[in-house]
Amino acid sequence: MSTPRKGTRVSADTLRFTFDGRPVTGQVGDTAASALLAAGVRAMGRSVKYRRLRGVMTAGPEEPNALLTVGAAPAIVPNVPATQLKLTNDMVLETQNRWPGLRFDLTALLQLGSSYFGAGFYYKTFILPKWRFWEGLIRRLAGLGKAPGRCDLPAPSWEHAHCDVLVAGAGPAGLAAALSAARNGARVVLAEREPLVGGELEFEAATIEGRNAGEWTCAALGELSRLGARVLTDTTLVGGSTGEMVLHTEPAGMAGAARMIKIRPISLVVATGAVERLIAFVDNDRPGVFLLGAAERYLARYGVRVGQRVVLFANHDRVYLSAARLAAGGMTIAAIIDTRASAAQSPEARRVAAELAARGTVCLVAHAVLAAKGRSCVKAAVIAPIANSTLTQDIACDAILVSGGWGPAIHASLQEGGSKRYEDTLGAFVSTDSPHWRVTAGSAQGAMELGATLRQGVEAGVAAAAQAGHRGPMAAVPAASGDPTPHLQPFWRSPADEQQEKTQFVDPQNDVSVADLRVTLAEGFIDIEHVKRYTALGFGTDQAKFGGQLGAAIVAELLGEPVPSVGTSRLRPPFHPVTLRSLAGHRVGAQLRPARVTPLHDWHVANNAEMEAMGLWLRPRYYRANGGNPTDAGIVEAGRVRTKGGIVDGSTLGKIEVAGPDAAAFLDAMYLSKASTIKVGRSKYMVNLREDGMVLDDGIVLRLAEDRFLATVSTGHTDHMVSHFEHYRETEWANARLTLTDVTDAWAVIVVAGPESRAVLASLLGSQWQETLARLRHMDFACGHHAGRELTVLRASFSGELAFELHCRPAIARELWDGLVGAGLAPYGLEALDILRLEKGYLVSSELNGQTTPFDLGMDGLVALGNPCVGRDLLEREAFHAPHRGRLVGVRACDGKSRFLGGAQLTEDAVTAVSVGFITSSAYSPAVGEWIGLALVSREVALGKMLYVRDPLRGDNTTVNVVSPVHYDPKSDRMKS
Amino acid sequence: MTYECQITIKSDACDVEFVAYTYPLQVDGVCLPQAPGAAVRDGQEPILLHVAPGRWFAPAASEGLRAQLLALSEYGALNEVEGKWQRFNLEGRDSTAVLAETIDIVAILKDRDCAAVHLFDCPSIVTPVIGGYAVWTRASHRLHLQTEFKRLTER
Repeated sequence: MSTPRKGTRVSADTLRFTFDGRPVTGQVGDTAASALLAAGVRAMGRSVKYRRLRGVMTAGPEEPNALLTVGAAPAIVPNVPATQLKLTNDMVLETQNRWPGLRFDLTALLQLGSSYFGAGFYYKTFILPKWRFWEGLIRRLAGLGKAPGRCDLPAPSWEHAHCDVLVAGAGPAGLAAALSAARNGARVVLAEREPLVGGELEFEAATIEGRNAGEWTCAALGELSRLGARVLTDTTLVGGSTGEMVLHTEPAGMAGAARMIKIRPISLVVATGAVERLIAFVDNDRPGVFLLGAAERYLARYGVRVGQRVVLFANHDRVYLSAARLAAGGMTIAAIIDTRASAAQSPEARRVAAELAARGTVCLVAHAVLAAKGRSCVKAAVIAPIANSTLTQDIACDAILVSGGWGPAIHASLQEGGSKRYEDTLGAFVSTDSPHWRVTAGSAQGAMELGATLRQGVEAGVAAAAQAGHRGPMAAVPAASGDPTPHLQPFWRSPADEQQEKTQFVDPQNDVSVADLRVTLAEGFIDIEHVKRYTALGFGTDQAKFGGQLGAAIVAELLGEPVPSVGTSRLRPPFHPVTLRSLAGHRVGAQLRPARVTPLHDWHVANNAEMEAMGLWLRPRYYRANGGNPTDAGIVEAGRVRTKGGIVDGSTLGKIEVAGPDAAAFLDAMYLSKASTIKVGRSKYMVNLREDGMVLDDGIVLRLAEDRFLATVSTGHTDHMVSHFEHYRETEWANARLTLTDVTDAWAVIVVAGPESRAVLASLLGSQWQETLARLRHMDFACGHHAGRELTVLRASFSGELAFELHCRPAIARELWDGLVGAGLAPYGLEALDILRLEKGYLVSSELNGQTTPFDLGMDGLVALGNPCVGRDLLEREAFHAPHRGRLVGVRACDGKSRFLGGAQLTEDAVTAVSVGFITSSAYSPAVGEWIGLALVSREVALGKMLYVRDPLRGDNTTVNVVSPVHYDPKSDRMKS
Repeated sequence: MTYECQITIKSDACDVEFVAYTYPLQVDGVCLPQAPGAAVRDGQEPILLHVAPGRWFAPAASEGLRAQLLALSEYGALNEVEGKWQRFNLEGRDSTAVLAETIDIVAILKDRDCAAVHLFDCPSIVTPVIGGYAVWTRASHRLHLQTEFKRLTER
């Protein structure tokens, strides 16, 4: 057994997991990437387009290649960066983008056609015979991993929080900012995407305030704790909109333990650091090419040497310090290739470079790595002087460690609407023009020396705290040493001829090479956003973290323009992959949206009701005992109401209590007919208009007292109607003595309909109600008590039968319902309700579609009353009276048996495509014995005319006659009996 | 994540709401707490909560309180809302964390004694009580809210 590795994040305890079915051992604290590297695994996936073998390149969320699928199918999580995935025992890991296996991959044959797969190939290639022909194949081949077939992940936890100052990033700048803000009294939340705070301080031999960086970090953490700051590790600021940030916490680096925190800070400090950049050279995507900083992290954190003999390739002074640390860790530095014309410039870098040279390390300036040799892993680096790239030589090595500088991670700043400027000394964009509540600090703002980083952090913390109302003195900036200026000289790509540019990768995740950029520009797509879309540069999980700035710089070079004029493409959230499961939170399955239930819900469920959502409400559509489908059951239930009687749960009916001396006048203004003429104890069917004259809603208004009304509104419309009333209450009626209260939930409603309804109710409610029930006329109501609770009985009907609405307190709803069922009245659902309404020509639902006026719906009589209500004036518009406008009519099949459905268009002949109207509602009527419907048909079409039903998608093409909308009991004798 | 929090469903009570015609009320010596977010308690039990400007909620209103509110009929209307609200009590160490899954309850109640909020999309009223919170949610939302509470608290 090998000796356990030593690192700041691993313990000696072992973990076992599988990688593509092969057992592998790691150590507690390992990421998947570190354990696999330690096990000698170099290849961790294949590229999306060309299926080139790829290894891990980075040690952070910017990882472009090593994206793994975690778990066993179908409950998998795809696209988890191996660099972020903390190992657990028995974890199952699979590589992506290969078939059948990583090493033997038939899809790798795509590489043979790579010459034809350049930028935009799919836009040009898959036109013939048509896109759909190719779509299936392309979808199977494309994409990052596979979507899970099942989600077994637990519901992620969500938290909502506020704070004074949110600091994103706990490197030196973030720590300094958090400390200074907390010292000034601000409530601070510090979020760090790594499991440990400190950022680069974890590796660098710097000193701060006379202590080594690690000790200073511990002290800072301790002080933050004492000051009450909240420190969140494994937590990334993944996005946000103004004033509202979303933090994503994944302690295990995968969605299983995800936690989302929606936090509303008063001010935000962005101290998200910088992302190291790649340099484009031939085959720079081969397994064994790493970012220099990643190699240092693997060594320090996990005790993993990414190579035994390595070539370092960079354009700044830090490479020499890194080389010394890697050498101290046991790696052989085969060569340091410095692209700059002169060698190390800072005194410390010069000293280290001299020591390395003295130990025999080759240090070459003004040179570049032209190519990596080796297919499945790096075997050598091909180097040459930049000025004469024909003078090549091979340096044997098993890893090439690249550092092309750093791109500040300005995603959080730019997503918030900030702008950016190009910093020449960094060869990078930094954010600028921040809103007053956001400050960017540290390397995210281009400060690459520790002293400057700490100063910016302190200043940012003080400013952010002041913004939150905690003004205080500027704290002393901690003195720091040991972190020299990088003296970076931008260098983007090594010399190569155009043929070689095909494998000079800029964005490895999306297989975007220098050649792709050149083709794209040649085809006229010169805006960086167009370049992005034509090549896929920065697509996917990358979002320009890894290849964005490099791509923009090479585009600038190819165009012969300065980098700032090219800019970067938009950096979209999330900063790193977040599963849809995490974003959905608790809103999954039945909890997708808040379902509202009536006091009788349990009864419906227990009695096999098929529930249907109406708005947020759940209502019984039909009861399965009455039929296996809604149509059959609806016919049975509706037929029973007409012959005997039935009950329906109408509790979802919206109810708004309008009270006060001005209530009647207010309702007069809200409805097409007057409420003030309703007598106490009476009710009236009334209609609301929108301001533009269209019908908004309808319902019954009860006058409970001289100064108190109960307005009923449609199910699912209640919130809208409350808002509608509140709007006028708060504006034109602001000084009125008037109140509005939504009492929908305070009253359960049971509708008792049918010829036996009165007798059953009289029996159930007892003697004290018998006289009342006998005297109630149509639209009368009476208030009283039953079983010690309030009960209102309203005689009103939407079925065309003798019917009563019981408005009762929820506490007695079940008792009443059980009594009615026990008395022989069976419940009916929405399906039957619609049939009953349709038979009587009452509006069902589609007729109130926001485009119908009272005239269209045959309510001319209500308009003629002349009540000056909201929307009344605009009814005079000429267009509302145009002859082609629809009018509500009834329709019946000419043959007396054919089916027709709502939504079908109506034409005057079988050929023309000009519609004269459409069917709004239809159903088979057990009372009439055939299909009946309501339709909105041009006023020019006379009653009795035959029309053609055109319903090509459903195939219900037939002919209908235009008839009166009232199909049953036109004189309403049954209802008034 | 599961939290240590006991959820208790309280039985129906004869709640009332009093709504003022105009706000602020131009009357002295009134029993109503004036600032929105203020609450009157009987011991620790909330009895009158100013849940929105000019709107007061009196859970399980006593006859005495009811009479006081009726006496204010010149200034507003009293509405019997028995059955409109379902009360839950949240008690235990993690009761704040349970509510923080949907709102920042600490920030919301920082300067007020009660608030009208949406808990997991359910319109609700919340106020602190000994050991946790009293929550009234619209009765038709009770099942949804109860499911959310169970998800967070049942192991």
